[in-house]
Amino acid sequence: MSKSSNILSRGLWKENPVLVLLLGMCPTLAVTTSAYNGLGMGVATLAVLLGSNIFVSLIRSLIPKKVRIPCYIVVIATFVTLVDMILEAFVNNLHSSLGLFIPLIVVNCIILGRAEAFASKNTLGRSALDAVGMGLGFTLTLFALGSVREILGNGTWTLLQYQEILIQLRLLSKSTDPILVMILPPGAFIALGFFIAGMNAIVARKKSKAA
Amino acid sequence: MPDTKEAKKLDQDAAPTTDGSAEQASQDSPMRLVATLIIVTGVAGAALAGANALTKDRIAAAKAAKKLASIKKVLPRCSNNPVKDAIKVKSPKGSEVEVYRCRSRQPDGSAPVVAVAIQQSSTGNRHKPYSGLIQVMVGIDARTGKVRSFKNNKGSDDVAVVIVKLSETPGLGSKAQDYDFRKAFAGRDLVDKDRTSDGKLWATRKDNPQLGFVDAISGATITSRAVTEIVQKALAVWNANKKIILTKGLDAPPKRPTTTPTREKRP
Repeated sequence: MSKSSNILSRGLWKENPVLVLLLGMCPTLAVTTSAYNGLGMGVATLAVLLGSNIFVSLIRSLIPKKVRIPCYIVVIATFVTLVDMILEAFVNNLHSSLGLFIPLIVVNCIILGRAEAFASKNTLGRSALDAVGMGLGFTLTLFALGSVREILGNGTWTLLQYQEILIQLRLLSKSTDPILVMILPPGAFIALGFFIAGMNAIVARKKSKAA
Repeated sequence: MPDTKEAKKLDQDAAPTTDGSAEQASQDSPMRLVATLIIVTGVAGAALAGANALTKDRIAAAKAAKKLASIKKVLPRCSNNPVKDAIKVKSPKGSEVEVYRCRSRQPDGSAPVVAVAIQQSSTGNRHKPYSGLIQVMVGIDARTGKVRSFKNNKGSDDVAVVIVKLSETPGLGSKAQDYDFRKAFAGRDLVDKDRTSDGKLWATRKDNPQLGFVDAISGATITSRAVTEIVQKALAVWNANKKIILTKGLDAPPKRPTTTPTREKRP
């Protein structure tokens, strides 16, 4: 049996869904135009992942093998719709900037992947831990990616944007031209490439030290 | 990747080994499969229906607040609620448009319409936006029929053209939101089909160097054309319905219930 702390921490680093497993690329690349959008998308995904992992784990012994995938999809879609409604009701501006990508959480491979690979075989507690670990890994990566892209591409760092409240730091002066490409779609690929390269470099260095 | 192998081990070491062949057979009966799916979808449906009932009002309120915020931006101080005093009219192209009326109470007790807010989108535009949909709220002075220009609460010049929704390229088309572009519309009106009363043409300077009055955003001519056409459409709605907008429900406050915001169609 693997330790609980191990289940929690592997999503953050060793099996980071974005940087190691390369899952959920579509929202990763599309919504990380600002730190706040990345954070919002990450938390929304975390909520869906937690809900679906807990639920799938609860019903895992009741579901016949042959129809398990449709059942998981229904569970996931339900949680996605719930999150969609809650975001629209309470954080409307985030809902409109994430737009279509909230319903698309349904087809995020991370969520069905964790339901099928982990929650359907593990107890409730372990599944919840796994969801939190993976979800946090996804959230932190999206937040970091969004931060880098926003700072380089727009010169600002948006941490919160709720109704009239806006916490935004301007890191480059208005007169300097930001690197516009970083908040355009190609910037997502460039930033992600550097992130993965950096991650691999750190892992390789650790290994060579250990050896 | 060495990590995934380890991950598989990790995942499987806790896997329950319960599929005995007898249980497998009973699990696979068609009735059981159908029943499982029906129960799962039924429970999911019920949960969503409940959640919808709980969030419906808040979603409607959030949408209405958003709408009111952009309406307020293009109208002067009103003595009425422009959203409640809205009137539905037909645009020259035949679609239904809501016109939000701003009244100002006079010393003699009357409350004439002093300005209106009209929202138009790029749907049906001749000049399509570069990507997605653009929605623009335009405030029109009811006495002159011109796009309002005013001092905003920061004390700087502003024009009653507010981009409600836009998904153009950041840094290029997104500059349509800046005052530097929008100021071209200040005090413009529409006569005939595409002229202003001082003989200018509703076009970008790039398309018509002599008569066009809109300075296109460099690198975003397509966006500039699209926004120009949307503002022109809003003025056309005003021109075609001036009488109804100004006179209908002038004395008595409108009796009809507030329009309930309809759920927007998903893209």
